[in-house]
Amino acid sequence: MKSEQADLDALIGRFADKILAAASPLGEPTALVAREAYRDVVRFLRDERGYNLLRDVTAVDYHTVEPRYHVVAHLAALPASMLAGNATPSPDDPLRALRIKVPVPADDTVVDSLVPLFPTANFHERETWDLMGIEFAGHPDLRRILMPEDYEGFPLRKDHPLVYEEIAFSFNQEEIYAKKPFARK
Amino acid sequence: MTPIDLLTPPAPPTTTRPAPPSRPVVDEPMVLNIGPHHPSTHGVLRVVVRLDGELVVSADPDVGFLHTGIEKTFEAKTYVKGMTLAPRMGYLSPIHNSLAYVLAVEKLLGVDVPERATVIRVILAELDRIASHLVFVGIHGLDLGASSAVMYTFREREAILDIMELVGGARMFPIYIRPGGLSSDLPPEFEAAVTDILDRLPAAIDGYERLLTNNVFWKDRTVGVAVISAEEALALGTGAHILRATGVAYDLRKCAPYCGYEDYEFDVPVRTEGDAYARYLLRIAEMRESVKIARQALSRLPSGPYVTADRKVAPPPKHELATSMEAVIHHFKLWTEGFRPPAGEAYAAVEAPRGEMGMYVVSDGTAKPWRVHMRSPSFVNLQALETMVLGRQVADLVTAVASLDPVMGEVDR
Repeated sequence: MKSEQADLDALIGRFADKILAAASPLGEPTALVAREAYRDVVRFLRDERGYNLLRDVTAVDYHTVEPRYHVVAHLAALPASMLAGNATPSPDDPLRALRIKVPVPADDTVVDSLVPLFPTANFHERETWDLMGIEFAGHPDLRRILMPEDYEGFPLRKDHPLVYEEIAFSFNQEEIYAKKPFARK
Repeated sequence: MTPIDLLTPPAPPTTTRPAPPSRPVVDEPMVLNIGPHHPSTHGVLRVVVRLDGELVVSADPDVGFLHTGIEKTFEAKTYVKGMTLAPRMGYLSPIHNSLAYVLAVEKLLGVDVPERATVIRVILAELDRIASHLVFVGIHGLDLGASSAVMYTFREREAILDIMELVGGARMFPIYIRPGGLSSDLPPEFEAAVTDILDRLPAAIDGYERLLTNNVFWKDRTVGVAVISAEEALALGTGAHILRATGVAYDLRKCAPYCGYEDYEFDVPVRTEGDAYARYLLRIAEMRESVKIARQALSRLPSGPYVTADRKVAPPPKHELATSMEAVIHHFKLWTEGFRPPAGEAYAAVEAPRGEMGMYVVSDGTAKPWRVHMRSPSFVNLQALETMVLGRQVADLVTAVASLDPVMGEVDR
């Protein structure tokens, strides 16, 4: 009988202290993985635990908390019966889903790319780079995908200004004018 | 003085024109921009194609023309106000987009949904799937020059949109599914309208098939075109008809059921050819299965409440406001502030017409979501475009885009 809990146990057995936490909040098995082991963990899950589908890669900005970012990857394991064309998996070998979270510090936003393992990570990681500013080392073509290519900043970050012009009040005008000398004109 | 000779034709001028400059033979691929505005791009999709003669060397989809920052906008709205954003992302499958978002929020809230609301959700989801597939069949035909089918598919789609208008008040974006249930109970005309369209659909689908399935020109343009293998389709993360046309039976309604799909009897059509024709046949078959599911759901439609009794999530019924002070407080708190799911994160996925529609919602315990991420199927499926057309004729690109069936609003969000 295969289950996500067994996969989490196997991860802890194989990577020990690189797995920072493993639990199933709200019934969703989640592993918090140290940044340096990220790609190895996903490779282990793919090659030895049968996780053959990368559903999604994204990132969350927990601004003011350190480590500030979490890169989140959702993986799924399609059992052999589904690959053979049988839509209903047996209860012994169900569809398994796992979430991998990788804490990333604010001053060094680089993680390994999953493109060498799953080509589908290409667009997901480009989107995460574009909107959240997480750099993926080893990505073959890391450039903006949704925003214009000359756009500055990463809009999904919590400290990204929501309006074009920051409003200057007497208490912060010096700070803003220092950033934007044209604002005084 | 020489007499003028009027009989001999004048000699041609002796000056020669300079020879045209010889053009160097360039031995590198030609770059061709297809789109952003092109009838076959389903919105605004630009594909930068490099061509060797007529053959495609590379095809790089350039997206983002419809980017409106929906994920960022979510963070500034309460959970219920976010309901208006989710369907607007993918305008051909609004019910599924709402459903994924609502299921994620309900998971965070830990709220129970009444049986009646669940069954109505299934009916609407299957009608939504049929409406989306009807657009696929019609527009796919239009892209390849078979322009009759779209006239008939849009006739049935219009009837389904009328049902959406009946329940939710809007044809394209009924904000009808809400956290905890539905926004209101069904109108009395609902059952007759759904029965009517379900009765008409099987014969109508036969009609589309008569136009396309055995049409020689249709088969010429689709059989063996835009082929993708099961390994490639899985590695590229595609879903729905693209993956199932390669023999992988991945359907979340069967392998990770939501809304009680495990209680319905239906098949997941699978083919192994992996080409555009197989994808077309799959969607025709899926429409017939959806009719079956919707019929079963309609026959078991229970009576009872349409929304949860949890007053912290759903507003009280109108009549209580006149008699109960508590009801007034709940109503006021819900519409001014909204509910506050406990801190946590949830990923909910539904089998949308184009594949896995996933919503990843992070709550920090306040009335507005901390982060909402949409795993939209069109965005992922678009990556398969290059694999499908590599080394093939550029004309097949149109078939590939049409059979991928991307919704650009969903790609760009």
